[in-house]
Amino acid sequence: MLKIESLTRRYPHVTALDGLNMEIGHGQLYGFVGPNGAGKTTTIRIISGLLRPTSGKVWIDGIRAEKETRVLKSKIGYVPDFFGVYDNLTVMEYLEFYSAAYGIDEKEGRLRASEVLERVQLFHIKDRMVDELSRGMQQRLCLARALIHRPQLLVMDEPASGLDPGARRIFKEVLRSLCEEGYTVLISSHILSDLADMCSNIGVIHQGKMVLEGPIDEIMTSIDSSNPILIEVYQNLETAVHLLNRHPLVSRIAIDKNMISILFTGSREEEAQLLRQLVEQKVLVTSFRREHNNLESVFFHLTDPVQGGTTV
Amino acid sequence: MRKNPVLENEMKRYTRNMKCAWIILGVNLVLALFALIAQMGLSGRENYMTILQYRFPIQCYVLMGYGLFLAICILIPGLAGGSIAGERERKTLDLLLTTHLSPWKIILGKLESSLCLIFLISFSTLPVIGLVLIYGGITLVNLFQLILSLVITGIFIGSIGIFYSAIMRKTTVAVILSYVTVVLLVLGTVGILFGIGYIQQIRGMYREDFTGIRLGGLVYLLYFNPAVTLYGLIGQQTTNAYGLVRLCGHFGDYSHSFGVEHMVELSILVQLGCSALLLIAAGRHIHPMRK
Repeated sequence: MLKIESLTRRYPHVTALDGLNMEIGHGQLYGFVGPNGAGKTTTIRIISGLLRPTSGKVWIDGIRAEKETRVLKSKIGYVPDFFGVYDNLTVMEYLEFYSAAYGIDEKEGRLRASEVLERVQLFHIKDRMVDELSRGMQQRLCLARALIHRPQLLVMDEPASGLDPGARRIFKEVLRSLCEEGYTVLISSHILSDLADMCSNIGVIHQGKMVLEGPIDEIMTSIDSSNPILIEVYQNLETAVHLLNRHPLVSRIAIDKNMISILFTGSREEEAQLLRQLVEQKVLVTSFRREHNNLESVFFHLTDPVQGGTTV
Repeated sequence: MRKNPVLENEMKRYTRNMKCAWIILGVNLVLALFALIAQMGLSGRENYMTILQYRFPIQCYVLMGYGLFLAICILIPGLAGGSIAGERERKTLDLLLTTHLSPWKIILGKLESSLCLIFLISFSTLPVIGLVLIYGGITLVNLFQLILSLVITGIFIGSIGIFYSAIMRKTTVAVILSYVTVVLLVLGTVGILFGIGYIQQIRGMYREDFTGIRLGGLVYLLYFNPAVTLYGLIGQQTTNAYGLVRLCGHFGDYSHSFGVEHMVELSILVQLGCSALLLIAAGRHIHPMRK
């Protein structure tokens, strides 16, 4: 659905994007994460046709975005991290205005406005003034606006920022239902737990470059496999340490009271065999588990220079 | 022809605002006051044999014309100056630019909405202005010319406002710059000419060969002054047909100058040309693919 190749955007004193590559398939809910100033908003603005790249190419559904801007606008629904309010307009009029701006005729526009309001659960407030809505409602209305021309790709820049947990839950439900209906969604967010719940794929951007990209499950598994295994021993700690020291797949051992932490590079099956060997040597093991990562730790691992890794 | 959604949206919002109603009421009240004063002047010493003083309705028409011009100079920079910058401050400009509306269409929609306000005010004042038709001396064609001239002034001043609105981030700055530019055009151009003329005259006092002020081509600065255009037009319609030539006579001998004799028509062309350039520049500035 979306392919970005060597996208670069330079400002006079800073390079916001430095040869960014990215690919999003049809129907994916793609989480786009990165620290402040990493280039997320710049990428989203270029995709939405609001900014010209210094170099690089963007394809949307196989069409070069920079060349076919009108087609691009038909295919993209843009939801920014803010909500632009017009005073003296009702919710329905607000949507009718944007449907007219997309060249949709009046009657069809009214139908579509009702349809998208139902979808974002706001139909009951269609006659309320836009500037009187709560932030959560305004954000859902913004989503409705982005859907009015039936785009194929939704591009959302921090849409849940500033929302309370209740409003975030409704917003997530709406997004999930959109993806089930085949919409492709690119969503940038700082609320990583939300992304981990929703997204099928993630991309981590840092200093204008994509440092990690792929299906979220695979990424978590691959990062988990480099984590230490924690073994809690109830009895025969010395035997356990002796066995682990001689094991060819164990590279480092740290002991804290009854807890042994080892770096183990084997597969899941070899992990199970190691546990069996310990039990056969009469070591009483109360717990044997690999330390898990969450999206937040992955994010910090990749983007925090102190913790070390910008190269994956 | 499809309506411009920006125009429709703006008009919907303007007309729901009480400010719009107050503006229309205010302008009409002022014009009605002018009409009342003229009417009193016309029939103040009446008995049935009194000869009507026709200069009063004409003066009333002139006053109303300048009154409407003043209303445009006060209202339009405020409206147009906030048009694009206001969208930017509300953060709706980006949303508009992601739709099928081109920057030019957004700009034109904003200009049209400013013009609609002029039309609204002009047409609401027609019954008051129309009073002068009762006494003769002013025809319907004159009235139509006056409104057309005010609309052109609105286009010119509106374009200035929209230009600043597009290039400035803050509405306040754009509005202030618009007002400053309008004041410079209306008073500044005349002021500059009189200032230079005065300096020439002072210097000439010490020269034996001094034959009078000669500003040459500088007088064409007045092409940019919409007040001079209106002055020329009203002069042509009333008794002061050579008003512009007389005004320019302060700056040199322009008695046979084509540029001064046809200053009304030429200044309208210049102002419309400037408006087109300003609108193109504004459109280019907000075009996302030029950033």
